[in-house]
Amino acid sequence: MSGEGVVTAEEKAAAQRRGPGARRPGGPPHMQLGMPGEKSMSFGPSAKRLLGWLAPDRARVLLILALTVVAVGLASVGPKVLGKATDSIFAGLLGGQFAGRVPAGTTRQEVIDQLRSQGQGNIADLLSGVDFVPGQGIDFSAVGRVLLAVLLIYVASALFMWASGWVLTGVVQRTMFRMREAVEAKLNRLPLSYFDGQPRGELLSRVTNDIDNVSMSLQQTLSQLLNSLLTVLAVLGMMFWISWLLALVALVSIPISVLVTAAIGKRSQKLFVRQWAATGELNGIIEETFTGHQLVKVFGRQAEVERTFAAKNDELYTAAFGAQFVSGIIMPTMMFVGNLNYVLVAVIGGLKVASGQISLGDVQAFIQYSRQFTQPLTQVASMANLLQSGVASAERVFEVLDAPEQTPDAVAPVADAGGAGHRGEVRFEDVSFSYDETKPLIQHLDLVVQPGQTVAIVGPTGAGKTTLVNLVMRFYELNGGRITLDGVDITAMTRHEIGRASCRERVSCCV
Amino acid sequence: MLWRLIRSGLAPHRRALSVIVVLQLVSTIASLYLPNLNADIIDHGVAKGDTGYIMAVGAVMLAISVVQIAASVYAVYLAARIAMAYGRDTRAAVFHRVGEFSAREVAQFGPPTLISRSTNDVQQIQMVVFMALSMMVGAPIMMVGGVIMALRTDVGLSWLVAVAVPLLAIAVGLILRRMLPQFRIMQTSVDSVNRILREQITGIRVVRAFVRERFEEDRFAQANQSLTGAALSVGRLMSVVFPIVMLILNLSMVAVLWFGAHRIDAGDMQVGALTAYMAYLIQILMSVMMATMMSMMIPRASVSAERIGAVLDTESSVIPPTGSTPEPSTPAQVTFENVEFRYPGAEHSILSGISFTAEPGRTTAIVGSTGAGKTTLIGLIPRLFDADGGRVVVGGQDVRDVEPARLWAHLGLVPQKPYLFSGTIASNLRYGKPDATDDELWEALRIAQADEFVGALDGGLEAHVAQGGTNVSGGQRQRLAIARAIVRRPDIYLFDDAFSALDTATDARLRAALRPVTREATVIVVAQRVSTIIDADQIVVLEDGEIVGLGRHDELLESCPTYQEIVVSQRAAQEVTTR
Repeated sequence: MSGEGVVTAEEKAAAQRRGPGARRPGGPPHMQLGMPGEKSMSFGPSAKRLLGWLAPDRARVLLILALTVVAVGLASVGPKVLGKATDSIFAGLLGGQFAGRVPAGTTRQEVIDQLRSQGQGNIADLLSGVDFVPGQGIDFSAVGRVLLAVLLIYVASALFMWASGWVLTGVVQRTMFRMREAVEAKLNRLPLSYFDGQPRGELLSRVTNDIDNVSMSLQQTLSQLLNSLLTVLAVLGMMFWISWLLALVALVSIPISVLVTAAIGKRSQKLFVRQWAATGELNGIIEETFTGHQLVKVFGRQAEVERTFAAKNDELYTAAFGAQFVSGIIMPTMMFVGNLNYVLVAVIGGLKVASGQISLGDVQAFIQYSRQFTQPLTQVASMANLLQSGVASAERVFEVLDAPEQTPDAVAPVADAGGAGHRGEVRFEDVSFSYDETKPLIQHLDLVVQPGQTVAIVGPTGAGKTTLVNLVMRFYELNGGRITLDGVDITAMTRHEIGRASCRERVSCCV
Repeated sequence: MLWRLIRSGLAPHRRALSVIVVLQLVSTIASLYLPNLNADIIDHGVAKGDTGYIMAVGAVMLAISVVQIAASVYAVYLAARIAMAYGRDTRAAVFHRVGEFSAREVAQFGPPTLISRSTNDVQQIQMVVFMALSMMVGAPIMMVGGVIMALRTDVGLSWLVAVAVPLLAIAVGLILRRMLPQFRIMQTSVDSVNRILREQITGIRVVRAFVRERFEEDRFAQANQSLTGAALSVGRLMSVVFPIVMLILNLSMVAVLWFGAHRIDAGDMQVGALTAYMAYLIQILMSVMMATMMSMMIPRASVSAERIGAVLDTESSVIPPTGSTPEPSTPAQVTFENVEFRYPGAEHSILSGISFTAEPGRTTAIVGSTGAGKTTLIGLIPRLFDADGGRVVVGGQDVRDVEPARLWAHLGLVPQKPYLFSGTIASNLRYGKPDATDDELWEALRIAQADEFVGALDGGLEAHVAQGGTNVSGGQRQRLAIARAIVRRPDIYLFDDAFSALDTATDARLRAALRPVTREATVIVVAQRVSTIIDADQIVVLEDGEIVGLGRHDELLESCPTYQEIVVSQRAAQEVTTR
């Protein structure tokens, strides 16, 4: 397909008139700003809008939520139960140390009191937090039971997680299907001026590269995001159950993480927008060069073209590097916060175990929870990176979807057209039309073409010959008067019908 | 292929790469050391109730954390720089290679897939490189470090590691192996969708004029469904990985506790050591998990690497000569000596036994029905393709012996479908001669009968031209393309059906205006319209790729049946008496 124009430049030049710098990437004309492609990203609203695309799969989304809640719930109970095994072991260890050193039947409290009276207060404090039986070593059957329970919990968790991921994939892909479909359908409703207003490759990049990016981002972030957020909540719950003090310590890290992520995120937002805009522009250059490959060579412009390409390529490099670096900092920062957490828990926890206020198993479970807590936080943060990139692309897709359309067809196809038969009479009644208001083109034109007639339209360039044909095809809207086809106003017909009628009767409807 | 591509691309960054490795080493060791210190706290601080010790070790842990983040951040900086530079360099390499292609290679791939290979596929590999550099370097270090620490803590449990790690690696490996072919299918589907969209965008006027929206939507819907199906398969496979990894990780923890308990009971191990061991095991398995997550991106990147490699490995079928090259003489005569051309693998030749000479100062016209091979013939002169037999001689030199740039400098091509580049009228006209003055441009426009409409445009020479020149009509586009060639003042004009969109009057005026300019040049005109060529000094009549007539209009009218047919079918030829 060559996409050659049907209109003479004289007639159409006014319509396409734009100032210098008209070749702006991105957006339909009325949305273009001063700087090429510079548009700040509104993350919140765009992200919400993006998620809104999942709405048709609402039921499945709820199912995913339910499955994930169960999976995460099970997974977070695991460490606590595992901690019990450690407690059991520790108790067995300590208890076993008293074997042979105290008479059989001595109770735990007696041993503690004895130690205290012996001046070993520290050890007594420690032991008061441990549920040991003096003289008895590790109770393996107890430990074994606990471990079996943990095993089952983890297996069940994995299964639920798998199911959740399975359904999620379906939801994401169905959403992307809908989005691609919507964009393609939109293309058919956009006015021709929209296509002329930007390089082909630029528009193509939006409907291919950007949609691709959204798909990948959604797929990767949604599953992790849901999982991580729920894990954070569940783990937090467990931690509070064990020790509210330690939990508070861990809790401190949340607002810090959020602040850090937000601050870094704001900076990388702009860079991601710039990156994908530059990708679109580069795509435009590539598309044009490859399409006009012959001409580039034979006119000896290969070197020049490569220079232009290199300049834009460098721009893309700078933007991409900035975006990746800034958002790539999030993860190490989160790890640092996590480590801080670890240090605090280890120290404070250690102090508390030494004074007998918490069991060692609880501290160990707590540490495991801290890790389990910071890990999803870190994941959420690194997902932020991917999510930003995806939302930046989604915005570019939305720009296409939001572009003003050509006047829609009349809702109900007119029955009369069929009744009168496709005779092929075309009537121009007081038709007026201009591409540009200041340069009137067709004024008060009356013309009748009878069925079976062949009417030749001649005239110098710019008289409006091709425009007449375009108006019949309803490529543009009239400023005044009307055109009828077999007595029916073309604005009352669907374009489909106009096309069928006019293309059957005319020899050819385009150059 | 992926490895080869990455390795060659990363070669210039060797030093930065080694710095990254060192930084990751520092960062990883710092991470690994923390559990050790934690065990320390438990065994020596908690067990003895020594709070002072606990605090001191805690301070050390803090210091190490700071070192860790500093190293990580710097590593990310370097990784981002290297990965994005890699992307930039690969894009440039692909672009350059396509630039070297002849028309045959470009047609073989097709612009749409070349475009997506230049951007989309490079993006995939770029992301993998970034992920690999920022995380994957750390993963093996972490694993090795974790193994060492674990062994140091307790050798007796080490067999667990020896079981858990391979189990994990195998499980993930199996899944990845199944994913690879799915990714290939997916990427092909991406190609299809892109191709259809590009066609629709490019041909939007045709689609609407012929009311083919419904048809196009159906066509797209099919491609969309294939893509979705492929993506579903891939996504579902991927959703298995995480649960399996977590499961193996957690099961290992359980095993550690069970077997560790026995060892503690036997007095072979301390409780603090057990805690530390569990932490190390987590770290080892996390690093394996990180590596597997990374490697999930590899199948797709692998496919992308194949596609890029296919482009980079394709040599142009038109090879420029090496060494000192002769210069065609001016004025340039164009001679075809028994030229044959066929598409690779085709049964019939497009052209065979083509022999004729186009003299300077003369106009040689080439006519024939559609598909007779006219455009191919013209394409042989600038070496857009190479002949399979015989030779094409320009200015006394075989075109294959002349350096392409020197050859092209003698040519002015106006192709069948006039293509303008986005920019201004002036930038398009200057395409063949960047230093042309505005006067030269207007002169060329005057000759091409385009000065009036350009003059009436807002901005004149600086008026905006959309990509492909779609904001001017077909006739105006052709005239601009002709003006573009004229500005160059080449020795040889190649007009491939370049007057078809002009009405007969403009056509005649244009050729008349062209005559003084081309007085010494060799003009080769491919045309369908008899009125265009009726004055030509020599007419070459092509049928099924062979010359069936050679001579002037009057001679051919008598002697060549094919030519007679052509003339008769265009009744206008008989009506045209004015020249």
